[in-house]
Amino acid sequence: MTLDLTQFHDTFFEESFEALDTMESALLELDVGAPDPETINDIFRVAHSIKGGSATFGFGDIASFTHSLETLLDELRAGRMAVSVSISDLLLKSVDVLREMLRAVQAKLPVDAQRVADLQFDLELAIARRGGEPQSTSSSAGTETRPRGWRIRFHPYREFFARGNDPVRMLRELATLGAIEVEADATLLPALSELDPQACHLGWTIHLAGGAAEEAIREVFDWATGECDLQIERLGPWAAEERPAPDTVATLPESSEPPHANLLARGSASGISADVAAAGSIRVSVEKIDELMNTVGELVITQAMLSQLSPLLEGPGAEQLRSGLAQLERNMRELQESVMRVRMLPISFVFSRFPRMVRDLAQRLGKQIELKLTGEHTELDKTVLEKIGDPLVHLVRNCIDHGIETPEVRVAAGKPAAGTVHLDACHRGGTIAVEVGDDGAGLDRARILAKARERGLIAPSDTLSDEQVHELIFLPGFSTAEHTTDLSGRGVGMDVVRRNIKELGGTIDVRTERGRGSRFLITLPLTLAIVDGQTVAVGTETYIVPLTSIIESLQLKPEQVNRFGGRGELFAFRGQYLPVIRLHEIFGVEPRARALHQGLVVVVEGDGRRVGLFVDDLLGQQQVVIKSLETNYGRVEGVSGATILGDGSVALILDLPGLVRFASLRIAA
Amino acid sequence: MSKRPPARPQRRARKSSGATHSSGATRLAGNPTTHVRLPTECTLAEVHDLKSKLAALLKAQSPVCVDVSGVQRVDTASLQLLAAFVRDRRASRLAVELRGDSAVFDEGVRLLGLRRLFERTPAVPPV
Repeated sequence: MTLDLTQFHDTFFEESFEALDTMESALLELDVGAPDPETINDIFRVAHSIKGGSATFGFGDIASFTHSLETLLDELRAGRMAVSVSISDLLLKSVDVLREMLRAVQAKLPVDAQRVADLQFDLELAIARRGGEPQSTSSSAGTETRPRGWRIRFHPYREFFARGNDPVRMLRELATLGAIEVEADATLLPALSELDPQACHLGWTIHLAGGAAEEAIREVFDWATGECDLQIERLGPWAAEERPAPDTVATLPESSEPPHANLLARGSASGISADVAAAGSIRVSVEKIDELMNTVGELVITQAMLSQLSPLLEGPGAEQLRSGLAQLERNMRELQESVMRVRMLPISFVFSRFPRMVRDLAQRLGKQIELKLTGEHTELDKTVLEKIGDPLVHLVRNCIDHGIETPEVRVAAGKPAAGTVHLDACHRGGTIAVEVGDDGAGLDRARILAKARERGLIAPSDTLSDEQVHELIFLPGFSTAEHTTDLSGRGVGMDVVRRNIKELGGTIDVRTERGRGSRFLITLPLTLAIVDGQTVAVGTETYIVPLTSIIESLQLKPEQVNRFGGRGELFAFRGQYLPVIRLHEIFGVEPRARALHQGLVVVVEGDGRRVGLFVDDLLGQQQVVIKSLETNYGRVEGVSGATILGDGSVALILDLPGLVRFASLRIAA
Repeated sequence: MSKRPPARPQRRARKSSGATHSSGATRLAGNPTTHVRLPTECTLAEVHDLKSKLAALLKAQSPVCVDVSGVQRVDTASLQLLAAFVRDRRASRLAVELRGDSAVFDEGVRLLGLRRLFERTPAVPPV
């Protein structure tokens, strides 16, 4: 039977890219002075898995390159070479090259052979020069000082091959659990002339280093159930709680399952999937989840429709039906939350790119920078996550390029030579708060003002508060970089960052203190798919106001309202005067009430400002499924999307920041 | 390409000519060498064919050079067969050498603990 391996290519690429990310993080964690042997082992395993996978799929260039990389790592692992800064750099470069090679192969494009060959040469050179390097402190391979591990005696029966088993494959998988030393037992191997080539005549004794779980080892040999003699023996010092059973020698339990039944279930056979399988998770394509989300969205609409009908029901079963509908609503909400959780990913997916970036940029700019990441486990919707990456990269680059000073300047200012860039994420109510900050120079008010005047963004006579000055950096085309570098200050600056974040329904603000640093505060919605909304009526139309933006709803008395300049209306709200936005005027709808005291005012916050929305009535609160207006119709200022209500009608969802901007323009005009 | 990989006795950095195996080539230069190329797919399905091929060379007096460079898939059955071939020839004091680079082949050899047997050095025992 010939297995079509191309069906596993996508999985291989996906897993390899993930594995490279893991490898990169592990490399960045690697302490040059005293490397953790387990970290080196982790890195080795990744290289090994990618090599095995690429060889299986016939990606010879990648296999050859990873072979050299693996050899170098093997030297480091065995302590025959020390981890130096140059080695660490070389390994990081290898990660980059591998990533490029994988991308090229995935896109069926030619690989940059020269770059690969050069780096492979450097790897080989490093290995060849290992004699000159001091010994590392990592684990020794000698038997006397052998660290904890396992001895596995594996003697397949003669029919082993014929039953679809292959020790090469099994040992490859075993090697993903830790470093292995394999000793073949060929005592039973007959002379070639008498050898039955389809029968297994070899046996093996394997030393597996590290603290792999016995269960994981047994899983490797699952395929061979009843087809071999297997003894698994614990070696070296183990903590008492790690030593599960006194019978350190065991044989495989019998199973009725054919040995090759697991073969396909194990995916690409590249070995990379072992961790995924062990974690009890499965890979599902995003499209499938989106489909599920869509269906749930439709269900929410149907449920809303039924809820709307329920008060009209009469008769003996009506009460029961109503309680059933209430139950349905609860279940719907749970279902929806469950599906949403599936789409949630920790922000570490985005944060993980920064250690490398900060390290590289700091090197290039001759700055010393420490990166602090907190709240990496904060989860947010995949769509939001994908779109927040670039703005965050830009902000971090800005912090490094403009924020953090050179070590000399810092020391002269009485600060530690190494600057700090921090990234933090946390849940705050229904939103995610992300903060990017540094302890650098802070925003320079005088320079910002000078630049803004030069660019004609403000008049020379304008006097601005600190906050207003800081807002200037978010204006299109604003950049204070003395020299345009390829890091930041390319004119596609903070305005693009703010626009991208706004498109996600989020906000960005800056807090800064001269000489102490800056903090960029970002808020993001948890999801872009569903919003808790307040339905409001204006004339015959219904609009949705996102619940998270609503502060209060009130009915104004005529004396509370002040008019100015014949255009605007203001009302006092908790010691502030807020402008009124009449929704019927914005959307050109004939209202039921024109006098403010006849309708209701919903106080909302958008774009950092509070306003009162004048509406005819509040209808109720409900979850609404956001349908993109932009995709189905076009972009409308002040509207973030549309939804289908229970009665089948369409309601527009208000984009409050947009609405506030739009209204201020109208008032100004 | 401006740089060349450094030559090392056991491994080669890149697919290239057999320059790094020059010591083997020299030792074998005196005799006509019989070359045998392993198939791309060294798997159970092909193992009987491979056995016939190798069995025919088992007693050959000339040095045998097994070229592994084309191997893209290799399983235990094939490596076991090759191990028996190499071992038997060496036991009969007949030269056998493995040549060529194949990451897949190397990996298989390493995983099965057959590295020592398949060391890429010429195997002409002292007379």
